[in-house]
Amino acid sequence: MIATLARRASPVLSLTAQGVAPAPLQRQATPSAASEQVEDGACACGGGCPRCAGASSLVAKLADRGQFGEPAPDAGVTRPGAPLPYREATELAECIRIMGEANTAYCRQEVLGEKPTVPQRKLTVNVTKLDGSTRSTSVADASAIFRAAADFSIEPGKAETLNRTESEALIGSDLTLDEYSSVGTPTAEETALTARNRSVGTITVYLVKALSAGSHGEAFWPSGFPTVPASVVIKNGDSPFVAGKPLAHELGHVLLDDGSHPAEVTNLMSYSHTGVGLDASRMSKARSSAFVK
Amino acid sequence: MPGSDNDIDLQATWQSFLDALESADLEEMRRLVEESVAEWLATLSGGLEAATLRKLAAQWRMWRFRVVDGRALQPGQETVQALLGPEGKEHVLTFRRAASGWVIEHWQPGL
Repeated sequence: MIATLARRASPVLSLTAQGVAPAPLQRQATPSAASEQVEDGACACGGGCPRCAGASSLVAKLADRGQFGEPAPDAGVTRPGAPLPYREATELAECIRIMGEANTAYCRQEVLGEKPTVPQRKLTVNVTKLDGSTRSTSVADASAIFRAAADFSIEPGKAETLNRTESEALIGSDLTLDEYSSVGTPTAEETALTARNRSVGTITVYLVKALSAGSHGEAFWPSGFPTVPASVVIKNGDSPFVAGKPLAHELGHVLLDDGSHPAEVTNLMSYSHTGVGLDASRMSKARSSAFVK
Repeated sequence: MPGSDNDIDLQATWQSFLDALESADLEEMRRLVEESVAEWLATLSGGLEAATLRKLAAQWRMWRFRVVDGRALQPGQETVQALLGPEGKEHVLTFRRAASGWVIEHWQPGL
C-alpha cells in the first residue's frame, strides 16, 4: 500500500514543492530551511495570504501531540511541540489533502521523515484454521491496513488448526461453510463453528475453504447477531481484493458493529477491491471498540 | 424504480439464470453470463458440477435481489448493478445489455 500511495502522491507533491521553493520534498535540516521557520504559527508573508492561513491552522493542529503523535525525534529544525517550518507545514497539509486524514501518519513519515509510531492500541484475534483452508494464520496484511487507517495493530491470540475429522464435524464433508441468508439467523454450521476457540472479549477468525453461496467472507457483528460471539469467516485467497482487505473488512464490521457498506470506493468498508482507508467517524469508532485495547 | 419494464427484464434474466443452474443447463447458463463469470462459477462449483449448481441456485433464490439504489433504469442504459444477499455481505452483480437481452458481465462475491 505504501508504494502505491507514494506513486500517487509524488507527482502532485513535487509540483507543490516547485511552487513553494526549488527544493526536494525531503526534510532538510539546513540553515536555509531553518531560515524559513515559522515562529508562533506566523507565516513568512505575515500571515495574510490564504496559503498561510491554512498553514497556520495546520501548525496549531500539529502542535497538538495528542492528535498527531510524537513530533519528529530527529528534528534539527523542529523541536517537539514547536511549530513546523512553513515549507514542511505546506507540504504536509497538501499530502494530507491528497491522501486523506486516514493517511496522516504516512504523510508525516514521508514529509517530515518521522519514524512510524508504534500503535498503542491492539486488537487481539484468535484464529481457527479448518481443513481445506490454504491461508496462513498470519494476520499481518490486515494489521497493516488497520495501522494505516486507524493506528492500531492486530495481534494473533490463540491459534488452532483443525484436522479433517474435526473440520468435517463442524462444517460437513464438503468443508464448505453453510452461510447465513439473513442477518441475525446463523446456520447450524455457523453456530457450531463460532463456538470454537473463544476467549472473553476477543474476536475469533475462522479460515475455511469456501462459503456455500460463494461469499468471500462474512462477519457476525454483535448487534446483528446477538446469539453468536463476535466472529469473522474468510475463504481461501484475497483476489480480486488487495491483500488483507477481506479480513480487515470483516473485522471492521465487528469493530463498527455495523453491516453496511459505504459508497466511497476508498473506504475499507466499501465493496471496492482496493479501498482500505477509513473516514474519520469509522476510524474513531473502530479505535474505541471494546475489542481494541 | 422496481416494477419498470427494464427492472422486470432484469429480474426475469436473474430468474432464468437461477433456472439454468437448477437444471444444470450449462448452455443456457453460458448464454446469460460472460466468460469470466462462467469461470468463477466453475471454480465455485467444482467444475460446474450439477449438484453444487443446484445448491447454489437454491441458496441464491432465497436471497434478496435488487437493483442498486432501486432507481429506474433509463432507456438505452447499457449496464446496471444489482445487489444479491443479506446486509453485510451483498454480492455485486453487473448486468450488461446485449442484443439477446441482459447478461451478467461481472460478479463480485460478497464480503
